[in-house]
Amino acid sequence: MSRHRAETRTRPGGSRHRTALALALVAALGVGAGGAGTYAFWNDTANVTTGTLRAGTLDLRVDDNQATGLNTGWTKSSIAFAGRTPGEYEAYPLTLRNVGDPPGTYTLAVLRGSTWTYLNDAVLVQAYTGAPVEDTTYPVQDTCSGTAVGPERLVSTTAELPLLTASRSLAAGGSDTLCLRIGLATTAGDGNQDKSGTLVFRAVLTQTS
Amino acid sequence: MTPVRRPAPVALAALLAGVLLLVVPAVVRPTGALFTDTAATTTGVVGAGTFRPAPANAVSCSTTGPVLNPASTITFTTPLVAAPPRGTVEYVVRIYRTDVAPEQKIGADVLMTVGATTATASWSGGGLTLLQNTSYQARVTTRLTGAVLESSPIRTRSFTNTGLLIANFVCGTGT
Repeated sequence: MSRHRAETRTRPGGSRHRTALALALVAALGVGAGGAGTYAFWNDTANVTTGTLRAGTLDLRVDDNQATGLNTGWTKSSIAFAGRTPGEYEAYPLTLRNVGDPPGTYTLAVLRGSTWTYLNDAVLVQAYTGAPVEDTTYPVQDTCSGTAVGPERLVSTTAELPLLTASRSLAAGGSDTLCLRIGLATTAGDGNQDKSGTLVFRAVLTQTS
Repeated sequence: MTPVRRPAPVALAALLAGVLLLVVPAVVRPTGALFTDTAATTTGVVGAGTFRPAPANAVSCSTTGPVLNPASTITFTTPLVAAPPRGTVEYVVRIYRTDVAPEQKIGADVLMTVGATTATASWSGGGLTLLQNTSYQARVTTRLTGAVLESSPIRTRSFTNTGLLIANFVCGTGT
């Protein structure tokens, strides 16, 4: 304590010196701040252009590249019969191909086509795995070599009727062949004689999430 | 006893952030848009048949008489056709007068009585109210019970009535 007091006394001009230094510093800062905008700053911009960022596509095709493109359809005229009676069935193959970029899953439903004169108790549809097994004797009762992948549907309304119990996977570039069994119910009323119609099989492929 | 060392609050926060980073993307991802494509396959025409049973077999004819009307009878008989896979067959006979133009149908359709092997239908002379020396034809066809569509061709058996007060049916030829 006594030493500190002694130094204060021996250097009386130090306080003034520090004050002068502080003023000089403030002045220097003030000049610098005030004059900053007046200087030019060189700069450089580098734009990096990417390659094309193209979205992927999802394209579900049927059989031999039919229904190509988004939400397109086609007519498979080979699915047809005539002269069938109650209890008779015919079976047809249907191959679905995922030619899009991502893997996906698909659903399949059946609904009445634009032509329909049947009553509501006639036409049955069911999807199976495997291939059709033809029956050439009356009553014609084609079968499918695989197992059912959904319930048998009676096309009794104009509504869309799902054919698959669960959606099926379809890898990118992959395909899946189903067997569609179409027939007339054994309980189809007599009023269905000589009636006819077309069906629409609607498959929807959704990318795997 | 070793004291339990509690994690620092900073460590807890880091752990929570890590968990969120793992969980949040999984929760959010399904709500994003997914590309889809619909491929509709329209079929050709799937047509029902017009099912008819087998055409009727040949029709035979037999008579009783000549006796005083209306006791004289004429009976048509046809063997049964093969049973269809489903349903039953009914046999229909219609009587036409064939010596006038156009041919004139006599009475209503008649369902033949189906037996074990044959189907039959009989008329007395009074039942048909036939004229003397006129030509007639019985036409037999088959159909599913309750159905409208009938088999083709029909089977026929011609006959005449030569009597007046005393009916005298005479069986003719058939197809």
